[in-house]
Amino acid sequence: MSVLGALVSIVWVGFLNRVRRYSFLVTLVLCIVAGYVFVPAPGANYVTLGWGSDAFFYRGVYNSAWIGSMVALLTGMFLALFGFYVVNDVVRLDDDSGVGQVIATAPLGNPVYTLGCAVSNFLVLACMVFIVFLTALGMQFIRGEVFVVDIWALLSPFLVIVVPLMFLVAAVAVFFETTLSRSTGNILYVFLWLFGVPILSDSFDLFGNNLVIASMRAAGEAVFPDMSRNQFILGYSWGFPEGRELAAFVWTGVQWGLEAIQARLLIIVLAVCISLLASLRFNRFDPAGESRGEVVSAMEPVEVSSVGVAPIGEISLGDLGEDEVHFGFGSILFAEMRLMLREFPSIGGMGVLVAVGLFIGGLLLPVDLARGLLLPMAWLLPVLYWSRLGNREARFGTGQLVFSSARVLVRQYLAMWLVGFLISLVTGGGVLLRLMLSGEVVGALAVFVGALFVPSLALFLGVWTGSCKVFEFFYVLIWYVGPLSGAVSFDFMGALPGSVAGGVWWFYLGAAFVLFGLGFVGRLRQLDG
Amino acid sequence: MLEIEGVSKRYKSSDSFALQDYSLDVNPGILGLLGPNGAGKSTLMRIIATITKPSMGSVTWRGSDIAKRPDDIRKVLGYLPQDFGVYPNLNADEFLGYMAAVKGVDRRAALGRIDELIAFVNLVEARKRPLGSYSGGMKQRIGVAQALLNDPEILVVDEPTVGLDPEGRVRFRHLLAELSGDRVVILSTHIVSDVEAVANDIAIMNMGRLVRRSSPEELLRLVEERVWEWVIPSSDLQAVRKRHLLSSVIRHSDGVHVRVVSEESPGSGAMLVDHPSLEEAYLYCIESHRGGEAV
Repeated sequence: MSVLGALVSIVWVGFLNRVRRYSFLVTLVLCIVAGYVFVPAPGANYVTLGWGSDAFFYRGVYNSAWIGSMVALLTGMFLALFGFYVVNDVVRLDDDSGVGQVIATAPLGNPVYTLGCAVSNFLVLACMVFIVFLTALGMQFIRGEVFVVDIWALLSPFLVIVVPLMFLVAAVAVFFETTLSRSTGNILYVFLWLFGVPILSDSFDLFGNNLVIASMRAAGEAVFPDMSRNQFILGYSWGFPEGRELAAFVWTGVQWGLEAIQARLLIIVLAVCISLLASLRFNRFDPAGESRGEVVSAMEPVEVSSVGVAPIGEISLGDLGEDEVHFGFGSILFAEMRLMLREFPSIGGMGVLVAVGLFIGGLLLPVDLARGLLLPMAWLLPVLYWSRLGNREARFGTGQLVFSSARVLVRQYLAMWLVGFLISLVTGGGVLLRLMLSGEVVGALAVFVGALFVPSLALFLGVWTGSCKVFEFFYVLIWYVGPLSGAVSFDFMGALPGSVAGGVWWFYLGAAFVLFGLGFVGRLRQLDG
Repeated sequence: MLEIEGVSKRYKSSDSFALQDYSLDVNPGILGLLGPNGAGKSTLMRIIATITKPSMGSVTWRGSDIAKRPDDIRKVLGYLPQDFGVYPNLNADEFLGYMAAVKGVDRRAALGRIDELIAFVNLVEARKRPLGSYSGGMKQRIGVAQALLNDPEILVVDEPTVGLDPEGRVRFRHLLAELSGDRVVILSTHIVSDVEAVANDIAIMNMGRLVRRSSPEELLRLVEERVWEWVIPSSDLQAVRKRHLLSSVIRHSDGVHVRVVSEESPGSGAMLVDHPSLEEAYLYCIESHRGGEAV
């Protein structure tokens, strides 16, 4: 087979593998919802793109150019984050299915494979973008401000802005897969998006904002000269002030010049380079160089046994007395705890030392520092442990062994949750005690609620998704937005005095119970086959 | 002890039935479930192991419906699925310790039991190595060990000898023979010799249905005077293969010696075989079922 033929096969199989999953259908539905939400109705209490003051909100008339560009900009930002998590398993799928072993023995270079994976990722993302584009087309009619469709004005922002960006996301996903462990990649990408994107967006116009928004601003200022003095909004902005009036202007789109096209093509070139760079760290499914390994597949490392075989005739097993099977809770709690600690054997005793250090640090630091700084840090470090809750059977294929055991539902579910809760307590318990000793009972209560909430969230997401990915992504995101960035409604751990005073923890207390219950329902469903 | 009554199973993802109106009573001893790939053996095993529920019909263990009260059978069940995973960072001791806790075995009792089982499955020297470094056969042996942890009254093993070396297979057969007695052992396989060696009762399945249930002796009697040995020129082999059901083909200097399973003599010179094999009986049953005949 020619190199091109091999490339096409890898791309096509990787693509089919993902788009035929039920979860992909869900993703497409989410894309439609996103496309709908990106174009707010005139009476909606949120805006997504424009300039706003208390008196006026300035935006373009909903024609093809405005809707196309607005949805394209928002889609780029949205999929640059979420899209990564949709596609970052192409290499793993080959590994887990055993197909990787076949690929490894084929006369196929690593660069061809990683490039093929990146293109395959891109196609998956392109499907999602296409669905959003169709939704944008529909939205023009649903909002009904202009019924004349200018297909090029609607489509070109997707082609020029979103397509190169998706290629970059696709390539970075492959690079992370071949270079980092799965969980590290999941978490690092959120940070990259949160901290790297603003820098890249300003200096490199990665999302194409500068070009489009400059054109929009010029059109708006021609009609409303004071428009740019108001706050610029891109992304969701909730709460439309009472009595604010809409001021709409006509914008006919960007004339894409050669320079703009060249800049976007550069992103594709960068993506290709990243895909090829990924091949340098690609282990070609060599189990000896296993760095991503979590799932034991049928093609796991095979070692020749050096074990001697005992004589066949000496086979006998003693009987187990009836009183020796009693389904105690302590033994399963201990077993779950040991299993959790063995997830990362390389961390070993160091993890325990760090946890003890965090506990003591929480006790000794001043209250504000302990609560506002140490607690968020203490509850970021165990994220990889929490994310393992509830999905181990799915990840390792042990479900049939575990679920065919008696009285496993309540005992094991409770034990898993308790292990997660103990991790919260050990790492954040120092802060909790410090708050109690300082007389801040409500503050301590908020931290305690956080300790209940985190394992409940982890268990719920672990059981229902069967993977670590969703928790790792979602938890780090709310951790950043809430405790770290100061959005009180997302402060699930009581790190912000404002959230404690505002009683936000009541919400998270309820959420902890609801998530615990929903996780239990998910487990029950698994056991019921 | 175990009664399967009119069980059908239809998967949501498929229009066809994996099991259809399947009934069987299973008593202490070893029941061998034989059938080609896709016959529905694993589906039946998963239903008995309470991993999945029947779409229709019922399975009762000592009179208790296992779909309604799964713990009644789970307490006494040992199950070795066809495909299963292990936790790669745990060693054999730790993994079996975990499974013992899940199965409710007392911690002290489990320690002794794990020692016995590790010795039995010949993993003494490898017991401290992470399971991620085990070969497929070694992993299969760990699966066997976990199935026996709770000293089960009913042992359900699905293709247990796949991946085992010849010695491991013999050991496993010995174990099954040892364990039977007052226990129910259900052994699913497509390897006839595994069943032949240990089962006192055989159920042949095809296309989700029970084709025949009998003792090995009855099955063998079924093909008496139906298996022929025939010497043919090698140039005729393809044509004979197309017309008849062959159970073996051996080349000799005087031509190709074929064993044909057939109601009538396949051709001139064909001689009736004195002692047909269980494999030939199995082939006869499956072929007859495909042809729509009752066996």
